[in-house]
Amino acid sequence: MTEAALAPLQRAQQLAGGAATVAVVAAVLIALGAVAQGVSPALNVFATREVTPDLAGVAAVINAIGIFWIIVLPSFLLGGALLDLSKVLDEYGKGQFFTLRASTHVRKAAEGALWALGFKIVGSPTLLSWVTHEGRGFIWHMEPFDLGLIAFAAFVAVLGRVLEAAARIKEENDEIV
Amino acid sequence: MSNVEIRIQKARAQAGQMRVLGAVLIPMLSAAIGLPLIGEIYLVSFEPAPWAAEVGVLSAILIKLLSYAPAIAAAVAVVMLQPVLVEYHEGRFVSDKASTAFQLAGISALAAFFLKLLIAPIAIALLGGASFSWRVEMLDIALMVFAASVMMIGGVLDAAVASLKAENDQIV
Repeated sequence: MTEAALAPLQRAQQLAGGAATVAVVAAVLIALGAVAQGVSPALNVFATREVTPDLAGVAAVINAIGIFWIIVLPSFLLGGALLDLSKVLDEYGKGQFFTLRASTHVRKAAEGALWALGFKIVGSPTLLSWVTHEGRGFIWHMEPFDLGLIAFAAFVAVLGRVLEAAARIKEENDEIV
Repeated sequence: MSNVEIRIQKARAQAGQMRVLGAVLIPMLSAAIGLPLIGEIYLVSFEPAPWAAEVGVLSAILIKLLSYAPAIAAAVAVVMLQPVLVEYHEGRFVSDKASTAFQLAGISALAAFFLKLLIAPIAIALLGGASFSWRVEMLDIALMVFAASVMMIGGVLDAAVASLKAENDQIV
């Protein structure tokens, strides 16, 4: 291969390697931020309910844990999606572009983002209102921007799926050769 | 038909199905974003709320446009992904056009976040709308990194395709 063709590729590989690290750091920071965000409302449960050694006390603890998980779940899901993306970028950093591993992680990352958006828009607000006994209906917190993001993540998920199929074909071809 | 050919057909069919779905989804997405925007522009123009009357019709329209700008940029990102599906449907999985489109979609998504978090709130405040307050959600940052990673994937695939092409040209 000519040097002119190799230089941009090597640069892109280096960038991908760096971006993989950034994605991992972001995933960790997001998880920590989510924990910090979820601790306070969970602890608030104990301000209104007493932890007694009976069924009511157990219910209060379960309630607090439930509230914590409902609040942190979208961020944790998105953190998982970022870890998947870091694996894709890591593969690219190693120069392995059309591999099954990379394509599968593209799909998984987009699916993770879709789940996170689903929880952010309807899952978490609804469950939180149920757990805190504020209501029993479904609550939607959807902005037009979220709609665009859902469509974007869904498209990336399908592209990941197609890339996965293409990578399988390549692997089969490589085996034959 | 060999196993590989069957798989190629399957992958192409998947891309084709998504292409059709996209053809339905994109107008729906445009309507979901565009119709409320038109409604709000109509309201601030002909039946202005006190705040709209205070800042003036033109500024009120600009404020509404700016508040919908992130959603429009996100929808543009989805439209940008269409050429990828076209290329994959044609069976061109390693394609210059597809990886460039991937990259552009990532850039649009990233622009949507910058618009949402920084540009739109500042511009709205300058136009006399809601005052600017720095409010960043963790989830937004995470989604921003997601969009940046998609852009990066597109960029790396682009470079890989270019080098593969150069290698092939050299062999020929």
